[in-house]
Amino acid sequence: MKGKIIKNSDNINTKIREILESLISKQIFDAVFVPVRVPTGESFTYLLIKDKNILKDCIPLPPIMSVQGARAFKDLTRLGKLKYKILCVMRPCEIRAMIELSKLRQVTLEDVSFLSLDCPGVYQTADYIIEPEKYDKSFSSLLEKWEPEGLRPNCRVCNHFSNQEINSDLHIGFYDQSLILVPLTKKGEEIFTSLGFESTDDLADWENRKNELLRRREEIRNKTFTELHNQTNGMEGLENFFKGCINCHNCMRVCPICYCRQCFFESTDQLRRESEDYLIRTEKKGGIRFPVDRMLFHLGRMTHMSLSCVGCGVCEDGCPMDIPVGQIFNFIGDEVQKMFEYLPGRDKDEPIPVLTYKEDELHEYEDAQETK
Amino acid sequence: MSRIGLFLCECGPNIAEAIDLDKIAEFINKENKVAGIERHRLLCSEEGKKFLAESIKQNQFDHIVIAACSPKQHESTFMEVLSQAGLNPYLLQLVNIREQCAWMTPDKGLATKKALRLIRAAINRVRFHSKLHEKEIEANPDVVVIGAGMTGIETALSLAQQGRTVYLIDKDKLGGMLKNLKRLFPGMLDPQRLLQEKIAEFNNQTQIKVFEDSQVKEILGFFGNFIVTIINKEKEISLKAGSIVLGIGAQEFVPEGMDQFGYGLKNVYTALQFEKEGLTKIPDESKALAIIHCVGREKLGYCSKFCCVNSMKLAHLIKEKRPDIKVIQFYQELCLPGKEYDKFYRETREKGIEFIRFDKIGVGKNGNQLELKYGSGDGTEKHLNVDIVILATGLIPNPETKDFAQMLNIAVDDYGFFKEEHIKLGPVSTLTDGIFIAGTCQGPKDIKESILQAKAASGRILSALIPGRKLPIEAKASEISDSLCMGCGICVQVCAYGAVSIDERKHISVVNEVLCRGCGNCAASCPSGAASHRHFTNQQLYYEAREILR
Amino acid sequence: MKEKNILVIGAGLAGIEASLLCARAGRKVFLIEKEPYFGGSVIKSEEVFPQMECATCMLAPKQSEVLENKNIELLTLSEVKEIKGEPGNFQVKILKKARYVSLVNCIGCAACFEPCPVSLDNEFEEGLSKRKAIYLACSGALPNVPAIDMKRCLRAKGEDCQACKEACMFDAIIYDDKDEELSVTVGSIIIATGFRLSDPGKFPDLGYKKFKNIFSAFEFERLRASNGPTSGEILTRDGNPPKSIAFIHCVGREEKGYCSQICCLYLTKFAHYALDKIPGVKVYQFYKELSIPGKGSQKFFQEVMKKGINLIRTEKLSISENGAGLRLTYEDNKTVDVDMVVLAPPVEPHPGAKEIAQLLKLEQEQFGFFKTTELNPIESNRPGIFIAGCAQGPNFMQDVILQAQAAAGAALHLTGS
Repeated sequence: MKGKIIKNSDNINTKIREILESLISKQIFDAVFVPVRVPTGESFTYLLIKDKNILKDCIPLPPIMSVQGARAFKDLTRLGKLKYKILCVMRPCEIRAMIELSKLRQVTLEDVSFLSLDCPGVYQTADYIIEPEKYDKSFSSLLEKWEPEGLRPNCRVCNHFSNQEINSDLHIGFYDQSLILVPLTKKGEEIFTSLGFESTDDLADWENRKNELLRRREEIRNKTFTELHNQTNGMEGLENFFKGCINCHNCMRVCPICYCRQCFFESTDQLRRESEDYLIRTEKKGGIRFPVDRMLFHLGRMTHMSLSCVGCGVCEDGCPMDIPVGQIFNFIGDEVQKMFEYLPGRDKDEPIPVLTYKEDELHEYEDAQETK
Repeated sequence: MSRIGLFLCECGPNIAEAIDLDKIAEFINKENKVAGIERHRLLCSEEGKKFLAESIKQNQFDHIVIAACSPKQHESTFMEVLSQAGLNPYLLQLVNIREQCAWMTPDKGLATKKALRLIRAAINRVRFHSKLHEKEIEANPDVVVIGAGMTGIETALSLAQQGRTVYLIDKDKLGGMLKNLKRLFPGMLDPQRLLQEKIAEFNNQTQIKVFEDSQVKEILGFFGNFIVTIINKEKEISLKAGSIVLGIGAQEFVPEGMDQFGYGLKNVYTALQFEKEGLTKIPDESKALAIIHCVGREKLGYCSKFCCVNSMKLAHLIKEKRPDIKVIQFYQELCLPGKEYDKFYRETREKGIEFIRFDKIGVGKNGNQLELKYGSGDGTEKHLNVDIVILATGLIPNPETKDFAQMLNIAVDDYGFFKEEHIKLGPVSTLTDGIFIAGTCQGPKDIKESILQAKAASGRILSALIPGRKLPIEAKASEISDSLCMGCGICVQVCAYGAVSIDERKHISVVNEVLCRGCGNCAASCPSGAASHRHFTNQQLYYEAREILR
Repeated sequence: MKEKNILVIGAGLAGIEASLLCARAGRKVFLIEKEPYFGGSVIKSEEVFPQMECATCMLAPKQSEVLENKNIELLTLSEVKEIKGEPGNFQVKILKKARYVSLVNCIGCAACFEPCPVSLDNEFEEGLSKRKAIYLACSGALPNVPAIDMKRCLRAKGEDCQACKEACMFDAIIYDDKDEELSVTVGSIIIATGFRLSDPGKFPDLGYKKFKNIFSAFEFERLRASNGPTSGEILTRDGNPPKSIAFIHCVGREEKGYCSQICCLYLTKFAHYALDKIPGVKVYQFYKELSIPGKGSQKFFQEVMKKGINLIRTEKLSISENGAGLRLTYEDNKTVDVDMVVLAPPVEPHPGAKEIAQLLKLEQEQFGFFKTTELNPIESNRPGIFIAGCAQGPNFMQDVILQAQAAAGAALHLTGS
């Protein structure tokens, strides 16, 4: 693979900022959609920026995911497509969520270009806001070492942290204090050329490091998933896993994919019952837990979302009870996606399996059922 | 609080002896959920129906549970009684305690227990039944026929009736594939005369409006009310019709790139090319001609059905013109289905046509001649020089098939032809009401079968769309809540009947009541519960299931 | 004045479909059927190719619609006796034979069968099982009301047997039921009298009826039927599942002079039945020419063949007994030994077709099927009378449906909107 290597980019944020400024100046884009540090300093937010001066404050690769980019983007095209060109600067998992949302008609990607970044992972938001300086410092060294310590569990097992199977236009990787620019689409090629770059540099070093990292990640991933499998096996395991859940539904609220106007599990019409009903339900169990439908909520959400789950882990960040909800979604998502040979966000033209019906599929699971 | 009436049918001894109905009545009575319990020896009898109707009126029941036989047997009977008693028929829940309990469970105690559960479930469910109304819509009896080959012409002719107009549209002129043919097998009729006769019939039919050289630009609407926009001589014309028949035909498979058949060499024709041009240009010095069957069959994955007989027809045509030429048919399996073709085959052989079964075959050039190298099962390669080779290739879909499929939201099959509603029971209908497919656009076939399909499509339309009559709408259909829908479109994809679409202005899904058949796919797939089935709501199902599992 | 009613003769697949289309258009339809049940040949099958759907389930919704549609008067055990008039106004006399069981009172509980002392071969099951003098052709037959075979009932012999009447709790048995003659006026007539399979015994060299384990196609179909004599188990006449079966194509094709069209594919279906029901069974198909026309057929054929069927092409074939089994000799000296042989005899017109042809002055072609116009397979030699389904020749089910729909269209057209 060839691309452009920009050497001595010790502060990657600064370098990317320069690129963004140049794209606005050249009127390649009317605006960029990029994370910016909030004025108080302990968190980040996405900003739609037209003004170059404000662009100076952007942090394209923040150390936390205070909001998932796709979730942030949703409002932008709620009432129809953009009438101007923008560049979204996002982490791979955020772009993948964007692609899923476009398949579900929740965002419109017309006139949207993507700049994806190598992502070393992020810290837990709750940890970060206590000691932002400490984490800022360790985050900058993270790009050199790429070690998983201290990162969120989902980031530690992420196997799509770079340009692997990504529907982005232009990718920026980091290696040896250099920025690696790789155009991935025709649109990306145009952006790349307009910046005056040529794909002449050999990227073998970056790629080797990436593949080595991927190999290590897969190892951790398999181990973690096996553990999760054992931990959550059967109703009892699952019950135990979610024992701390207080039914706040925060995981759903921060999820980039969850898009319902009103969650089915919060709907009075659908799930609230006559008082007598609850008493009847105690007949078999002896007692019934309130708030109700706690497990049903998680299982239901899994049914609805797992095919599109990109494993970004933002749900786990949002959980006030520290339930590893991001990990179980990532694990279940992985299983279901493999079952249907589907990878969310890989290709905007690849239909979500729930939308397609094939007469011949899943026989291996049927057979498995029969032998039972 | 609703006044539920429970009716227990004894079905003579069938239920009464197998289930303890007294015990059931006693239990239900204690639960205090029904306003009355009635028992009858045979509710489906005339006397029983009268009893049911009167009891409903007297007791002012507003929801009814009947525990009797299978809904398949008597649901419609009892729904009618409800109507007669002035109650909306959908306020009924029928419990099958005969087939599912009395006849299934020999132990009376167990059968009674099971029946009781089912009855309690029905009582719990029926409370949530709402009145459903069987609506009707105005329907246009006119028909748009797209494609004016033999199929389209025949469809138009058999549809044109008093009070019904047929618009026959073709991007070219009338006649389709027929224009290329010299004869029709097996009776060797003249297709051009047939065409002339059919077109002459148009002149007596003011009901048929022909639009030649016209493109279909857009089709909007649904069964009973379609608007078809066509472009005719750069002018847009909008046609209103209740139904659409697609008769856009197919085309001959041309074996380009299949080198072993020598396509591209001089004097190598496909069957259609030969009939169109080659027949009149047989060089004088020609002595032998080979027809190779099943060319491309393996690649296409199907037998086109007509090619064997068509190849024999070509042999007849050649012999008629040039009795001196030797004609050899190379075939693998002779497909001569039906009562006429074995005879035609014998007649062909009697004319001196030779038939050779091959297991492999190749065509090459040999001087001015063509050389066939073939095997006939005994392992040796044989050679034969001929002057002309005809490749019998079969039919492939018209390339426009997928455009129309997309425009009308109907399916195509594995081979690219339009997909029928049911391979056996619905060969000319599609899953979308009011859209029919006829002729070779549905699959390879001969003229005779195309005509039959045209007539079948007309039959379906003459039966369903009648001037002055309204179309009934399925009452047990789906609905989508405006306020809950986020327009993700999952329901659009899973609807087999093209009944759900996106309202682009409001960014939500909407159900077309006319097309919806109430399968409930949309309700099952909707994550937010915005889509629901009117007669299978979550509430109805929940309370029913809870009682069964209790 | 054009008469709008329509008469349909034969209530198999074609007759049902044609009647439904006419009735949905608001026409009164008289659907007459010789047998005490309706559904024709389709309901004899367990499954239909290529999708291997349950045949009776496939037809059931249409049958229910016939029974529920108030425009259709289904007359079972009925025959046409006389037809006068012209297109638009035919006067028809129908003989409706006594059923001896009330269609109104009977609820189909089957309590009357057991007490009946008469035991007879069940024709519907090709004689593979017994029935009583009061009987349903098979379980699930519609209307779900038995009939009394009065010729064979003990009462016909002067005995005062009341066994069924005593068993009936619904006063449904009517011993003094009488044949009725009905007169109806119709504008158009659709003939859908269907087909039967030739008696394979007509080709004695294959040994049908001589060797006990040679079955005809319908016999095999009933063996596989879950409501059939063996509840769907494929068994030889010795009661064992065969370890090997040979299916013989094209039986009598040469003698008859035509290809019956459906056999190649239904024998493929039979191979599927066999492999499905009997693990490890060896299946042979002996054929002359393979005819698997149409777009879904080849795929179905290949999928079944893939499971290890021995396809043998031969022009010459003879069968002899070999101990308890059968020996097939082909190409003069090659042999295959099997436990069961199934023959696919030609499709031929229903035996009642001749009488109807005479009554209605309809021409039959050389094979005895009703003659139709070359390019219009539903048009008979008499205006106003249309032919649908296998009454006009061997047909696949989809063609039967097409003809029925076309005939209904023609009848609706003729009798005006």
